[in-house]
Amino acid sequence: MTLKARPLVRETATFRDDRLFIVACEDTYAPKQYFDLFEIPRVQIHVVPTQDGRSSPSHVLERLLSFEHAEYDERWLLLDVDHRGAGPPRQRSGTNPE
Amino acid sequence: MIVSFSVENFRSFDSEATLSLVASNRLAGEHANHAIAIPGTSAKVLRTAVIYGANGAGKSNLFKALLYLQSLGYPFGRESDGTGRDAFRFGTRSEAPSAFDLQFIADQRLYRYMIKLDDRQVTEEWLGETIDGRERMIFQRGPGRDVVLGDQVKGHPRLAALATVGAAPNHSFLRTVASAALPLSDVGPELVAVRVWFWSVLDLVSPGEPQMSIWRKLNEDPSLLDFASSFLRSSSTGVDRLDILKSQISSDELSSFVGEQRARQLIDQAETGRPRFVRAGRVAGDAWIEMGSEGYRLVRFQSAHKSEDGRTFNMNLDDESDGTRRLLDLLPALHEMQNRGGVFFVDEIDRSMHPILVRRLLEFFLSSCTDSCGQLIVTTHESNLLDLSLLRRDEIWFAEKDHGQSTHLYSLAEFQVRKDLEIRKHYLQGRFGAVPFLGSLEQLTKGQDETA
Repeated sequence: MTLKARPLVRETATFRDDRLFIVACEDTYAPKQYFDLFEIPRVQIHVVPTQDGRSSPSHVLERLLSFEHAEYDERWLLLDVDHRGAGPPRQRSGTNPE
Repeated sequence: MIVSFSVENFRSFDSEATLSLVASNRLAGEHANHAIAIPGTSAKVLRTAVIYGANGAGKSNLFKALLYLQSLGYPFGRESDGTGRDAFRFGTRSEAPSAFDLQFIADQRLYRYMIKLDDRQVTEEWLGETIDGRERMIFQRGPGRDVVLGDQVKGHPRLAALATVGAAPNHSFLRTVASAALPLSDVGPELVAVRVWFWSVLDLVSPGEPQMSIWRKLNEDPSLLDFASSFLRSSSTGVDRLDILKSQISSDELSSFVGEQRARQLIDQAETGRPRFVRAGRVAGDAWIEMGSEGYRLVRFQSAHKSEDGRTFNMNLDDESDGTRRLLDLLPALHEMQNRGGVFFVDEIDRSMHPILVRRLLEFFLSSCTDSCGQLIVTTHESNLLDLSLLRRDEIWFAEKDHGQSTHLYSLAEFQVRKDLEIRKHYLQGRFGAVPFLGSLEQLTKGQDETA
């Protein structure tokens, strides 16, 4: 009979990840439905709905920057570049999320 | 005290999950009085663990695993019953053995009990003690009945005879020893200590009705009754004290309280002279029959409330709130922790209890006990306990199911979090997992909105 070793230690070799992944997007359903499939509470989707024409990438970015987060969290913009045209959204000075 | 408990292929546990109460060396400076030395080692064991998880994450299955392990040693059960284990159902290993591995301290010695069993039989069983850093076998058993005794105990002839005959395939050898009811001198202090620990020290408090044992304990122990009164009074339940009302009854009257058939059984059993304490099922309220050398007595438990003008009113305890009755569940734990140091695992401690009271209970336990104190392990949703001024990081545990529906256990000590971090806020944000995932709920409300 072989018994599994049960050393009296608690330390683990690596730490678990507690970062949030905050994703801001303008599409109301598809991105949230997609990420919800994985059922990961640390991935948080924030939809910035189109209102009064204020759904441009810069507004989504603005909202993303306003979400409470920790320094080490990852923040993402999810934009439909086909819809907006090629190329990254215009960067505003001093507000690059990552 | 429990040092570690591992479970595999049982209910929602597929691969092995371990709850470890070993204190982390890295956190040695935090709440130093929460950790007690493990005899014969340089390691320490924690006095508490608080386990969080979403509904259905498997927290209660850890409780049930320990309950099952405890039941394996009870001295009853028929050979044809199988083992009654409940394998993990969502995989391909339902025929494979379930495994339980427990390290615990009994009588200032470190023991380890491991058992593996499938639906029909025990496939492996091992009991040992750690002496001078080495595990020494007390007994072991493979598939089949044969049991091998270790050097410490093989000098006891009657125990050796039991080992030769072996255990029934679906019974643990611990059960075989318990059923034989051999005196201490025939089994040695190790097996007695283990038996006492499993069935007297380890107290598993489930979230249902108050355990039957609480009524017997209240009836037998005046100090517990006083403690219960003081505790209920100081917990703002409105209860001023608990009263026990006793009245002598004849054997003829017995059947009106328990039914004719049961009365006949009890009268037969009374002839053996063994004291009994049984529920008087046909009487309203918490009423019991006490049988002893003085004949039969009807025992009623009542709570006394004081009105504004100082008058006292009595109520049956089953008319008290669920919250008050839940406190009754926890009373033996709190009382005995102060007196003899039991090991209490309370499932859903926050059931029917105010968050402030849950926190006070934990504070009371952690502050009022000294080295002789016991251990309190709880499962809860009460996030107010997630406070590093109350608990160490290695005392906080999470239960979470993976996509294969299998439960995993992990501790806050496995995250690199700062000492001043607002743990509660970060937990509720979902950073540590073990929170309900509400995406599907949002889909449900969206669907309802669309159909409305």
